[in-house]
Amino acid sequence: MSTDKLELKIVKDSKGNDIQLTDMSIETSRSLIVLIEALAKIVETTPDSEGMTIQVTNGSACVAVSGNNKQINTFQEDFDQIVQNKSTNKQLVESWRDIQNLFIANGLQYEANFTTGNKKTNVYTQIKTAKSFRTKSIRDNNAKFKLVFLRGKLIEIGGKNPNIHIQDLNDDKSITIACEEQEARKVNSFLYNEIFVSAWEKTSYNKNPEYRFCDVYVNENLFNEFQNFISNDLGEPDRLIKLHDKMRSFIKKEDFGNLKKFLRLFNHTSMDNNILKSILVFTKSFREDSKLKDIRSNLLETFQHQKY
Amino acid sequence: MKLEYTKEEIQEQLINISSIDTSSNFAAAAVHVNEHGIATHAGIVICYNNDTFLFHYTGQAILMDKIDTINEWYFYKKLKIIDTSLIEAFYYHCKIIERDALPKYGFYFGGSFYENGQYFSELGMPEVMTCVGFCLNVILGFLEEDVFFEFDGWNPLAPNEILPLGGGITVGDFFNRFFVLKNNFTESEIDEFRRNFKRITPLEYITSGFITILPITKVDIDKYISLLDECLKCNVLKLQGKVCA
Repeated sequence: MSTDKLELKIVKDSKGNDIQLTDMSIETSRSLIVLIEALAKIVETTPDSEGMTIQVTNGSACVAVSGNNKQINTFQEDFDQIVQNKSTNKQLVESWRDIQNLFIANGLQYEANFTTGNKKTNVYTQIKTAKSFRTKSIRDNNAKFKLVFLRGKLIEIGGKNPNIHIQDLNDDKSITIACEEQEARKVNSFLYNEIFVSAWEKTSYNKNPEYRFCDVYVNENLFNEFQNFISNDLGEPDRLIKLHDKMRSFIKKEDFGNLKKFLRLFNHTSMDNNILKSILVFTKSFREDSKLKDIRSNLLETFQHQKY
Repeated sequence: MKLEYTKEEIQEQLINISSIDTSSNFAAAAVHVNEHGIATHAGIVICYNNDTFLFHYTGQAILMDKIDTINEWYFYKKLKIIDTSLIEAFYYHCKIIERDALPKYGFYFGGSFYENGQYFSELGMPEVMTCVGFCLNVILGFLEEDVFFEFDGWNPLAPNEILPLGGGITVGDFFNRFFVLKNNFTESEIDEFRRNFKRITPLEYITSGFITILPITKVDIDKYISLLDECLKCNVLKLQGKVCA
């Protein structure tokens, strides 16, 4: 009999008590239902899972599916794909998302493990801290991204999904730029004034262009300098030398603040990996520098994400 | 000792620059071999956008030579640790080093690297290296890792050891000439140098091209080094129109 399995456990209820299957709160039993349902759907939607059974056992409320090494490995590989937002299997993604939402939502204590051979992998933290599991949209592959530099009057900030609205000073066209809450707060002081921002423009088939915030510039000169670099220097055959020299110019002036702003322009999944690598090579000796640590670590993550 | 590569596989992957395949980008460790099949010089072969180069330090200058201008015998091994999708970045990393670096010739292997044309040594050591050291510095600067070769596995040279510079110059002689006559270094810097004054041969360098797990240790290299030696000698015999066992 194989001992390989995927286990989902409710360890403690919202009052911190151990779970007894014979005596559960409504909240706990609802959570149990979600777990059983999700696990059943995972088994159903994964090929070659005939004959696999689900066990519900006491000692925490544990819902598990056991199978042979190949079957459980398949579950785990599919799971890894979903965490990396690479899965196109809608039903599978939905099941794991249900589990994810459960973990995030209520105050019960959970565990989630894959056991293959002698190896037990705890995936609870991964599930809880990952971005909301979504099916990778096949259409996304056709989207084109371009970094654009926009100036205009900031006429609105906010919304349930944070965004800012910029109105062109020449015509009355207004552009909506999606952003994070923190970023919306950053531009607050510019409300009803002229603002200089960079944003990622996404153009996809049959859709209007969409914008995502990159950075805001207090200094118009810096805005122009960066725009010039992106439009001109990056298009040259020796762009990587120009990139290096540009970064070097900030270091020479000990201008880490603006170097950080410059590097932000490149932190996007659409960025050519050779550009990202050149930045990582240049900043290798600044890995621990307090001003550059975070942006470098973000760039490294973006770079590694692309290698797949 | 079970090895991952057989002699045949090594033979296949040691390629003569005269038959270089430019159909896709790559970076490779390369060595020059003399008529006895001994590797005497190290470099990096780069194939980028159908152009091929030998990037190397002669002890006098850093050169980015076009491969079709080279008449000597060189063999290369493609480096798996440098991703083929990143050759544009690697090529320009080398171009910047060519433009900005100013190494001096010497047998220092203390853990340093070229990053963006700047020589960076954790211990603040000056820019002193051999042709092999130069290659290791270039490669390490490009890797995300902190260590490429684990230098601890190599012992420092003794003062009476003779260096491969011709004229029977010993380590002691070299030290005296380099440090006392030409340059200003502190006592502790000179000590640091002595401790890290090592010789990593071009043969050891080309052997490392077959090892993909970092850091590369002397133990790893010793596993394959005699096979590499045999293969290089065999290749040279073939070039000379002779038969190889």
